Amino acid sequence: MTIQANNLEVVYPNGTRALNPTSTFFRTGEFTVLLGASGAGKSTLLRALNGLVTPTRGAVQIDGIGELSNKTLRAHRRRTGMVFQQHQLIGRASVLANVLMGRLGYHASLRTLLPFQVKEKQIALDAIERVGLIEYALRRADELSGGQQQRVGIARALVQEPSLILADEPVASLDPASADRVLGLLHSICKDDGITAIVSLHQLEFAKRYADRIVALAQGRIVFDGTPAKLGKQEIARIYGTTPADAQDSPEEEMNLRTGTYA
Amino acid sequence: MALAESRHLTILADERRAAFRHASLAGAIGVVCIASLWITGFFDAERLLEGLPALGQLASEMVPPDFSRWQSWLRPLVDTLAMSIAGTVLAVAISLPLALLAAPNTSPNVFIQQACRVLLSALRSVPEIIMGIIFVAAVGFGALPGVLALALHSVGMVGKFYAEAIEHVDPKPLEAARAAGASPFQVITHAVLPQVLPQLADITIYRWEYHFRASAVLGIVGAGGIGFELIAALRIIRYDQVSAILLTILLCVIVVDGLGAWLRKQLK
Repeated sequence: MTIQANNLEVVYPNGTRALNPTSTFFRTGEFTVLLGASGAGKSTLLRALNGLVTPTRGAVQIDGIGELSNKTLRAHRRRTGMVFQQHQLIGRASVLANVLMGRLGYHASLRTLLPFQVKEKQIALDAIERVGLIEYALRRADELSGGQQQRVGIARALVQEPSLILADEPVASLDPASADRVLGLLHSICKDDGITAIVSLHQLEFAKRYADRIVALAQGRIVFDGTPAKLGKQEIARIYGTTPADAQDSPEEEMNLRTGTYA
Repeated sequence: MALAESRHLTILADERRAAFRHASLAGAIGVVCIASLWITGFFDAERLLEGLPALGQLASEMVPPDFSRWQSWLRPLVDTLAMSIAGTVLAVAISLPLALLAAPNTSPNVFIQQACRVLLSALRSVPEIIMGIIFVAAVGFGALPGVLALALHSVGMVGKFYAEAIEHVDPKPLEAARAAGASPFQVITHAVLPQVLPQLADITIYRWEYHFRASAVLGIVGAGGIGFELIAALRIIRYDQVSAILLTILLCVIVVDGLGAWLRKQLK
């Protein structure tokens, strides 16, 4: 699925200008990584793409659906999976119940009062199997480790049978080893199923390893757009507001930058 | 050095001021407490002393409790239990939708939210005994007016507690449901309610326990149940029967509270 942002601008009610008028285009099956310091506008751009944030100006254009509006919102969200930094699971509900939440978009409101169909539960179990958690299907979500919870988040996106996945810093709260596993899983699923993916990350290393394309934001503006190979020291410095010399001379700072703690 | 010392002095002065503020507040509260006791005649030693023998007289008439009529209390006791459960069912059925409309995170708009809050306060502020008198006048003696009175007063209380529980749910799963294309109604059924269900059950079971105790009182205004027997025994000045009924109610309250505690544990 291709999705297009036309002059998208977001100003929050408190006056914060999170996104300056931005136009960009995401191609079918492409794995795009959004880079940028905290507050650069990554989350805002992602959330504008599925209407969790309403743009002040501009529009989102989706092929097969048209312009994103109140009318088209549910149809678009139904086939757009979202993976969140904090998993956003219900801790006391089972893994299966959390994953089934991804099916809600397929139900009429009142139909919701009846239990899920066996067929849908099977779709959910397939998704749980795919993320390698089948033996935990009936465990409470809060009994799982951080990496496992994030895999539940991915399964929840998968049961939507999505053509687009938006992931907002999906590995920011994980240790490096589980971060790599979770991101690798997300990447291989998107590639296998031909799902368009837009993933915001803090870690340059991961971005370079997995991205087909990197889009970098600084102060609510796109400052870089290209393949990982084109992302050099100069560009990195521009994204994070450091000078190229800093990036070169101080490996320690670059480390901080990778883990996302750089101020 | 001198700078550090003067800074310390400022901090100590601030601390003294805070201590003085706390002491004045405690003093003021103490004065209000003593004034309240005085206004209500608690310091009238003479009257208290005169009352003591009367109290002793009543107490002596209460022992031994007379359980001879226990068979005729069974039906009213069952009525009271049924009233407490029926009242809870009705209260929950009305409270849940009102609470969803009154909680800022699930209410469609501020006006509806405020209107529901006012309605809940209004129901809360009419004591159930008054509701009982009104409903007895409307539908006649028996358990039905009791149930209506319990339910309506409880809606004010239960609705408020429900709304507070709903207000404090974790908003993140709500966003996740919305992102998956859930309608506002589905967000409530699949993201809000699953989070608060144990709390709602807790509130409900506490309310049921309370209803059992309260329905004993409601009998006094003719709203059925064991309270009706209690007031009848009081009217014919049979204090030995009064004490027997009170002991019976106490036993039932202990059983109901125990059952409630057990239920709550199951729902954890």
